[in-house]
Amino acid sequence: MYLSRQDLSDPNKPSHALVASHEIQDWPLYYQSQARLQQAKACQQLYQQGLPAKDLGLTQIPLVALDFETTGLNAQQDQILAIGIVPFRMDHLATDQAKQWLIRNQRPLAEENVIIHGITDSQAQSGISLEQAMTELLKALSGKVVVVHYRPIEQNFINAASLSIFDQGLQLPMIDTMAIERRLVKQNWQQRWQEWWRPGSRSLRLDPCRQRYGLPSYRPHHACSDALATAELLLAQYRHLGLDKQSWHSLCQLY
Amino acid sequence: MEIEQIAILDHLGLHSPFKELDRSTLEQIASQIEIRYFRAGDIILSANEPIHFLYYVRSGAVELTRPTGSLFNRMGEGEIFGQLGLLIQGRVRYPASAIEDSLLYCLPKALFWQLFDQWPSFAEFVEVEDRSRPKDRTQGSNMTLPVRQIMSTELQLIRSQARVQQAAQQMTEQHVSALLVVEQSDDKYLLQAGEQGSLVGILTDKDLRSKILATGQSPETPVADIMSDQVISIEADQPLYRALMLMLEAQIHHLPVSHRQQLVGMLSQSDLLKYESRSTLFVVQQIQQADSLEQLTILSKQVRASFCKLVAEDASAQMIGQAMAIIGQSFKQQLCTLIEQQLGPAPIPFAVLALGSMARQEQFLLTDQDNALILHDEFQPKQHGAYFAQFGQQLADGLHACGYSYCTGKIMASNPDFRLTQSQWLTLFQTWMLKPTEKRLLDASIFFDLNSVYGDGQLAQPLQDLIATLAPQQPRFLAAMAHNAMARTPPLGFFRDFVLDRDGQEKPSINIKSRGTAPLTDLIRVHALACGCKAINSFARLEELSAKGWLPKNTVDNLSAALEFIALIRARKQANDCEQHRRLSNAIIPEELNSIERKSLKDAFQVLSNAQKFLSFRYQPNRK
Repeated sequence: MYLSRQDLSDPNKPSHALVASHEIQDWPLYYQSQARLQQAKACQQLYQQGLPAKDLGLTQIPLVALDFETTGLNAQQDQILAIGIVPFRMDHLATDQAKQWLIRNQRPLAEENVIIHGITDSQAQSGISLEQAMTELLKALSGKVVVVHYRPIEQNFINAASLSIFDQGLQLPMIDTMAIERRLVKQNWQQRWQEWWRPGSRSLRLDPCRQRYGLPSYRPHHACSDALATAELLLAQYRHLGLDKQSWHSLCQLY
Repeated sequence: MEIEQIAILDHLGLHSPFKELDRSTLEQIASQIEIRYFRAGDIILSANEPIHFLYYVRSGAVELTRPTGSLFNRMGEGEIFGQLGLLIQGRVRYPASAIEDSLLYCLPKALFWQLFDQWPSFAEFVEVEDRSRPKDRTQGSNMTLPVRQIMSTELQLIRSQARVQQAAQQMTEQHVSALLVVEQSDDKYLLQAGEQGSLVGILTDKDLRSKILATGQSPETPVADIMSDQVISIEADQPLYRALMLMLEAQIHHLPVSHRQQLVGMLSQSDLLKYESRSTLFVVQQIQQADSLEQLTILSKQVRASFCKLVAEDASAQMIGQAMAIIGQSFKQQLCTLIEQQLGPAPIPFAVLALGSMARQEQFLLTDQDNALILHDEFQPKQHGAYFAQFGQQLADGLHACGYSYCTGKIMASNPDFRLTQSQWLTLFQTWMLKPTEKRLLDASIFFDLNSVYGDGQLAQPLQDLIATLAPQQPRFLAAMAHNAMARTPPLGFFRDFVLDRDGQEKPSINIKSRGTAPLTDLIRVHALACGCKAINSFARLEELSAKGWLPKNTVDNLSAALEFIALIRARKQANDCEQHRRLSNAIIPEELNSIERKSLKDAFQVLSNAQKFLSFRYQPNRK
């Protein structure tokens, strides 16, 4: 389903749950309409802040790497355990702005989650509520472009969380390092053949992607480390591609 | 509160000067780091520009040059650079560039000075200019340096479709004797194995001589037709001695160097020569050039010097064993070449087998010349018997003259019992494995460590294959081998004190070979046979046993450490005897060891003892 300009600017049209992010063509316009439509203050402010100006130099665009640790892949059922963010720019990646929020959840954690994420029930209890975390998160994302590795997870969970807390869905443009890697990989039919012949040899998971650029292995399933790992991967991809702004934008399917 | 930058903190905490700091300081550092990524070839710091950071290499490798342009140092994972620039005038002292794709953690200047003021250990580390420099740039040799430190990073590449003449021109212009042959590259993941742009071969000036000039082939021949496509390479973080052993064994002069499957450099034998003056490489080269038995016997005097030098340089027992085996192998090969020159080429294909410690690459001084001949099945006793009898006799005599004494068990090529055809050998091995008796196998165990060192190597392959496939299916054979492997126990008493031998020695002593290294290698061999391992070296066998899940990792680590320690004690004893001009012996007098060595030796013997108990339990005649 594709929404027209009219749909987006119609103030009476409910926006949540209808829009899947890949269907939005004109993000600035979408932001304008959402700034009027959204009721919750946190969401409203995010959309009012808008996106970074299009004429900014590529290295000047404020970015923020984002990673959710969740109990599963289904945004309708599973819970967010932790949120990690690392704000950065292409010419400046530092750890001082990095943040991580542990989420206090209602339901006790399944054992396999404790094992995978290393987050125990007692740690989770010391965390903050999802509402607090989302408010903080949206503040931190304001005015920046989000960077993730595999967009559907973060997109669906942020949308579901927003729905449950603010009663309104939330769509954001995101740079997806996995999509970039896939497009690079796709350029070459032999590699595609190889992937078909021997699946996994060109894995698109975060760590194998990073290895191709000589980046180290980080402890996985730790929200802040994964966000940092994603930011580093984007830097490496950018350094290796050496693209001009236009082709970079089209590759990222940026706003 | 959970630590945010756990991945950074974990890594910093492993390396000096950070591992000496407390946790809260590390947390502070981890939260103030700037991260930078550089592609191979990128310039990181230029001479004399202001410097704002202390740089920590998280992954990749960085090269520092002197302002004159000569190489100053190379830094790998976990190493720092930029401290001198920060300390002196705040300007870059040594320009830096990335030689591999690199991720750097940059500590801001203010943080650097804070650590410098608060932590004496940190200040001391960064102030010592030469600490991070490789020890041997100025003195002696250090073969444990990683290959990365001395390899050449300027790769000389040529496309496989290029003409030979083009290759020759490139070699002349660039003053190199080898080119790496690549397939058309897409320049993205350059030279990653199995993909486009991968390394497909190597071309040396020898190929040009022997395959073009000598045969009168056209200079228009494509490079792909004459290159060697069996490329042997080494990982950048491997020690130099490994590279040397690889070159000597395969008799090659150039090794491509890889890192995470990407080609990053090239190491040549001449690079190594600068690091090696009179030891292994030099001796081996001289052996390979010797043209008479007299010359070889003169060279054999240098073997002891090489051995002592390796021990003095703190080489590992594994490294010493390998180096000495390669020297021994070179003697054998050169002797065979000389004998064939004298007797004329052999009438039928044959191979010379190394058995026991030489095949395992665990040779020290004081070693027998265990060897044998394997003849092609065309062998006719009347027609060919005399030739090989003479060959075997001359080989045994020659080796004896070179210091590899006659084998007391008569396992030598001069003994007709060990000059067998391939079928006869196969039958013999089948008898050992299918109709085992402990007595029959007692002397046979060294035959299960076999390696072809001269002649047609393919002849030995069926034997090795037979052992690897048949042995694991023969519980009675394995039980008999296990029984024999337990015949010699470590000299430990009930209260974990040493049990000493008195026979023949002035002072009570321990025979470190027969009660230490020998039972350990026997024990490892039994596991290796049972598991169908292809490796022959004991350390390599242990690695394979662990990789195949035959033995748990910690058992393998313990056995490996025990073997290394016991063998090292033995090597030191032999080197000591050499230097004191005493008769070489394996008798260790515990009082002459220091208390830590005594304790470690007891621990190692305990590992052996436990492993022997497990062996009798694991390999029972009726158990699969």
